[in-house]
Amino acid sequence: MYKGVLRKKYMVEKMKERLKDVHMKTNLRKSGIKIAGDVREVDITERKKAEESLRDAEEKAKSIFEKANDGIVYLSKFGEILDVNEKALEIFGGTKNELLGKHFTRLNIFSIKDIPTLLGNLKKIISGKDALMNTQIKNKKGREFFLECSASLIKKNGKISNIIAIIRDITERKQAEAVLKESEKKYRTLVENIPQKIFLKDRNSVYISCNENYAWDLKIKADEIAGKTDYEFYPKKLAEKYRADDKRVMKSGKIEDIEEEYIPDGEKTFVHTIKVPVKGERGNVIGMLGIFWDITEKRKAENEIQKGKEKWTSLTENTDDIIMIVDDKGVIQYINKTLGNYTPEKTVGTPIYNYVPKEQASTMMKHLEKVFKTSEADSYGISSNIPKVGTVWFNTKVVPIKNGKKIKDVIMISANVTKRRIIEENLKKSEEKFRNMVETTSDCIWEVDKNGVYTYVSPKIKDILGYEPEEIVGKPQFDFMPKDEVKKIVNFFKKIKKNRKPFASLENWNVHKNGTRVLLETSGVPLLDERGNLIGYRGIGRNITERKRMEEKIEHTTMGYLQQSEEIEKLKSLDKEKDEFLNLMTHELRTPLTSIIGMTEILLSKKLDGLTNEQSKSLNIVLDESMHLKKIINRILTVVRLEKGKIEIEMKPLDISNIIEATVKSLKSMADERDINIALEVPEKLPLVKADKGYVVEVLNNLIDNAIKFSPRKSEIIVSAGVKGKHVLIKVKDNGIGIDEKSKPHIFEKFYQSDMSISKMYGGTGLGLYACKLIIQKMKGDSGFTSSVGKGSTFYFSLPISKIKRGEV
Amino acid sequence: MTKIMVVDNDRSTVETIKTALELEGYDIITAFGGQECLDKLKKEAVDLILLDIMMPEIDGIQVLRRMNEDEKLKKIPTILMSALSIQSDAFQRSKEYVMHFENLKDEIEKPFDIVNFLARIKKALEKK
Repeated sequence: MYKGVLRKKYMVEKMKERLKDVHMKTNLRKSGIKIAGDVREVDITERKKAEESLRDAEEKAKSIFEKANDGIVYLSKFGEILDVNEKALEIFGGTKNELLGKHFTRLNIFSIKDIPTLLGNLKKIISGKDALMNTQIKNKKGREFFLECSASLIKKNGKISNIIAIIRDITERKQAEAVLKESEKKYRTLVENIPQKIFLKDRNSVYISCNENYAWDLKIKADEIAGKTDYEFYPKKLAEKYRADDKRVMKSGKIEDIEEEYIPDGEKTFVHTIKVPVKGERGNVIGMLGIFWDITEKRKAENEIQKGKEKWTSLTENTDDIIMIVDDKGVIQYINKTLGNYTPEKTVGTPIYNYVPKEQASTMMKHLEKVFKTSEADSYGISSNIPKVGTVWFNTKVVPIKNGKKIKDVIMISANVTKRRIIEENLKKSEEKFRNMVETTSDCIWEVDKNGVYTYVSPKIKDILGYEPEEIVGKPQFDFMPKDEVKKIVNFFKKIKKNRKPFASLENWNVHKNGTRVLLETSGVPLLDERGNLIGYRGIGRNITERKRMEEKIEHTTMGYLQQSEEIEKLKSLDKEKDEFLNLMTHELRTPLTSIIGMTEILLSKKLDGLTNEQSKSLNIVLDESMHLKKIINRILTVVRLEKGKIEIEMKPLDISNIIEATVKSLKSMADERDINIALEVPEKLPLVKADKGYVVEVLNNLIDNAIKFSPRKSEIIVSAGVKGKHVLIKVKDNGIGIDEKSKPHIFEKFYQSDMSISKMYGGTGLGLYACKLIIQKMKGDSGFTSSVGKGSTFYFSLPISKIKRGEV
Repeated sequence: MTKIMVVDNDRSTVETIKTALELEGYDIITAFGGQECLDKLKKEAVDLILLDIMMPEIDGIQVLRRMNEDEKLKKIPTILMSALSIQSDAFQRSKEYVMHFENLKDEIEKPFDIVNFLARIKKALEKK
């Protein structure tokens, strides 16, 4: 029956197409386009064809109806089953015969409670409405199905003829849905129970949903969130930020991880948010899923860690110390500094022992091992030679890092103590220097307490006072002073202690162990405690006993000298007076002599007549004596000048034999008067001497003159000369009275005459030999005599041989 | 005739020298002091002056120096005489002032040996 319907329907459709075709053709005709063929002719052919295709379609429809995947049921408008296909039979679980003609509610497959709905739907359909319903059945074979049923009216000539119902088996879908539901339930449970907050927003950042956890934060119920925005929950600024983030995520379509502020309850916290863009079927972003969790604690912890790190960094970066972390093999894990060439990059990962000398490395190793073994901190000091820095001294503390019970690493904190070390060494040196000084100085270093009791004396005290330091320390300083000194010193200390004054160059008598008095020159400074109280004195004492004695001596001598120099001045002035007197005297004596000698000579010159022999004899005596007086005066002057060194001599090469000859000749008359023969013993070709002719003549004259004077009448004087060494020795030998032993040492003295009576007898001033000696000395010669009383004397003198030889002059 | 002026404050000395020289044939003018010497030299030309050093008021050195200021007088040969030793400081110091004068011919120590004295006078006159 509904085959017909389908056919009809098909035909209707066919007809419509044909009409369209005709209509189109008509239109084409109207438009002047001619279409071949007759419409009627076409109609006949078409009908045949239509009938054939109708049959064909009927078959096809029947096949579709039977083989359709959905169950198809034709019902009368009252609900009686008119036809069912195979699928419907399978669902209902019966044969066609069992089903056909029965009312669908009486198939005993529906649950009774569903029947009113089914009937209601039937009414709906009848009234012209489509009906769709899901229902559950249990067919005759006991199988349960979930069905989705739709039904519509089939009208015939405007009247309701039948109802067609399509029944789809949705059992599998339903089951899947149930599973899904279960899964969704689980998922929701999960979503609701995870500590993270989850929300879903649409493209406009309007909340669609959220989990309870989030809702709880917002103080709403989860289903209340839909339609709300962040502006309703957060401060404007924060909400804007969230919205901007949302927009960005949705625009980029990329998942973002955001750590941000979150203020759910006025309390500022930090959250980690993952925002995931939600994409629609076509891949377009339709919303955004957010999941976030509180990281405030983590942040705090991180902050703590950061602070710790900063502390560590600041500590390690700002400290002067070298901080290292070293493992049990001595390998540097961390170092905070670059030392010379050793950068952290170079040193980390290498054994610390590489950077110190071998012997130091073993020290270091011992200490490190000890720390690892005992897990107690340790410290040591070593030196290291660092390129570009030099030798550096370190004091190192090794502190174990405990990880549970085991020590994995140690921290090594090395302080550079090079400067301190240098200072210490210098201090040591200076202390040593000071000690050396104290112990080697000839002075004694001492310390006394405020009562004057020795607390220290340097070993030098032994040299000064004869006591060992141990014999002195602990005793009052006054014990070592003479009684008269103690009072003086006690008073002195009383005074300076009051003002806590230092003192210098105090002369202080002490008594040596052997009883002698020792004068010390002492200087001292007060010793004060931290509060400025006097606790004693420290100073240095020097033995000045000898110096004092010397000073006194010098003072004495100086006084003497001063006196002497006064005397000298006096003498000098006297000497000057004497010189002036001598000058005046000689002048005054010589002036009258000029006339006496002159006039006598004139008289004796026989230029004046009438002089008797007697007169002439008398005049000659006057002349002789006048000449003698002149000689004496001249000799006095010579001696004075010789003594003052004022005589100027002219040293020339001289032929001494000629001089001797001439002198002897000039004295011949004088010798002749006394019948004295002067013999010459002078060899030929004597070397020349170096001397002043005038003075040589005077000396020779003097000696021969003396010889004549002291020789008896009719005796002989021998004048000889000869070479002796580098000198020529001239001798004048007489046979005179000789010189007694008593007079010998005084012969060359000024104004000396062996017997004053002699001068009366022979004349002479006593100046002769003295003057001779001075003259010979001046000419770098020597003079002397040999004599024996009664036998005579030999006076001699020597003159240096000239470098110029005879004949060279 | 050679004219010689003898200057000395000691009259005996002047007389002795005058006698000795006149016996030798010299024409002698005498002066007993420096001033007299200078005065006489203004009036009379002489061939030689025998001049004692140590004289009161104007001494021999001063006479020589004043003579040196006069073109005529500075040419008159002069012999210095002194009873001081020629080697004495006093004599040498005095001489320093005049030793460069060209007319200073000789120095004679008193007392002198007449023979030697006359020889030196002769020598001084020859130099002229």
